[in-house]
Amino acid sequence: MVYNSPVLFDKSATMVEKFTVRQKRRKLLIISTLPREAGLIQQLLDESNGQQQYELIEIHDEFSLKNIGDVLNRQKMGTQLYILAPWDEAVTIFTEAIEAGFSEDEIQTHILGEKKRYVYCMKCYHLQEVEVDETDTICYHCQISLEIGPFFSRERKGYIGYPYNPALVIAN
Amino acid sequence: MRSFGKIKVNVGKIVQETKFVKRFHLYPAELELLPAFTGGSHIATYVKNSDGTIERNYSLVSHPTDRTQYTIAIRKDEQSRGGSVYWHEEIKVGDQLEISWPKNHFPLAFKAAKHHVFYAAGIGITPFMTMMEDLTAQGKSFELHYAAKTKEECAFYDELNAKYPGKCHFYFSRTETPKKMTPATMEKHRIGSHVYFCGPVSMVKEFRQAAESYGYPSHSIHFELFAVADEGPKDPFVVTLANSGKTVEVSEQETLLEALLKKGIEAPYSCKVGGCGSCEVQVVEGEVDHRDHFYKEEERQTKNVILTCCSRAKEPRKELVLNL
Repeated sequence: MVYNSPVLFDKSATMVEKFTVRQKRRKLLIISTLPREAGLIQQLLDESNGQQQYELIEIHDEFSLKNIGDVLNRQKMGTQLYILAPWDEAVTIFTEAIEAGFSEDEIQTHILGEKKRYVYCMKCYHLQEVEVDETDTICYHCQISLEIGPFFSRERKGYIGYPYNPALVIAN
Repeated sequence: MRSFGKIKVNVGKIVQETKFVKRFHLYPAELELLPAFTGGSHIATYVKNSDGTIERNYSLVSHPTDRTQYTIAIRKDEQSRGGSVYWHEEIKVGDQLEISWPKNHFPLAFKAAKHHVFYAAGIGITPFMTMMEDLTAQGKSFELHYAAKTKEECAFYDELNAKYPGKCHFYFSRTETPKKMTPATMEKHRIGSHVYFCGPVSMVKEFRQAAESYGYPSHSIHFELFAVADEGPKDPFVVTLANSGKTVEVSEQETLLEALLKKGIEAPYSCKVGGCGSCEVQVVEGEVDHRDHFYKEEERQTKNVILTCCSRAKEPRKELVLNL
């Protein structure tokens, strides 16, 4: 990974509700840790209608997930990657895909279950998980109050948390 | 104070690389060191002849970290408008001329690419010389595919083989066993590859279309052209400059940019082949016949702009009003 490589976050451009075929790609690479979501994959293959070759990798154990880099590294240009997984596993696959050379334009990600959201403290750079709809939080590390900003840092892998003094906040 | 105008240089050495290619070494006349540049950069050269000044862009081929001199390589093209012929026949060691600061419209995709693949035809090798130096310095992965008529006409053949063993693939079309450089090799490039094309317009067009058909994302495709693509008739047209009310007639022999400059209008420009976007001007009224390689189709539909170095007014009105 290089400085500011893409990372997976809740508002990543790769996030989709439904997979779609990119007509110009030659190959569909589908990596799924969710066999019970076969409908989504079938929908994609129906849309492709045999126009592109495809490879389906189903991951059933941790060993396969750890070695997913081997599959990603042997892909050729013209491959569109589809990730179908819960959050933590999707992050692993996405990170390996970026490391292999995929760009965000070449990835679609469908998360089953909750997406995770992180904020980092601008005072101490501590990174922590926050709820999806939280607007402010307390830094676990330096105990300062943080307002969660709209900007996501690829370098820090979280939204910017702006320190503020709650005593100076005027209630409406 | 730093000036961003022209730089005076002396021609210090001329090397005949091949039958048609000469390498010119340019040394600073007034500065101690020349400005730094990055792989893929070029300079504009201004040489004075009896008819005025000949302005031409040439890629730098000297090492990007060597600021004591710039080197350019020029292929003599008898069909040219006179620039390369003048350089080959008139420019001598000791001559002084002016050049621009280095510009880079063809930069490396350093952060994004895992592997860089260069496709050069003929003198299209020049921008890749500095790009490969930059990649080597940073330990990055690359390969070169380079087509020429013969080994003898292949500029930098020995230098490339010596510097980058195993990374260069040569294709000679006029030998006993001709070998053609085709886009098919692009099918085999690994994920994360970025491809770069430089050569004649037809070659660049063929390779760009092939890369798109193999599924390369547009951000992985890079190219540089030395000439404007010949895309249709060059009918005369008229432009009105909204700010001054002046009208400029553009004949079939000239570009809009040439007509504007001839009238003394300070129109912006750089590459002059429709590749960099520097000459963009807002269009107030009229339809544009876009002939550039710069805008995407949706930009052509939504933006009211023209690149004056190559695009023209669309039939049937053949009139434009420009925000100049």
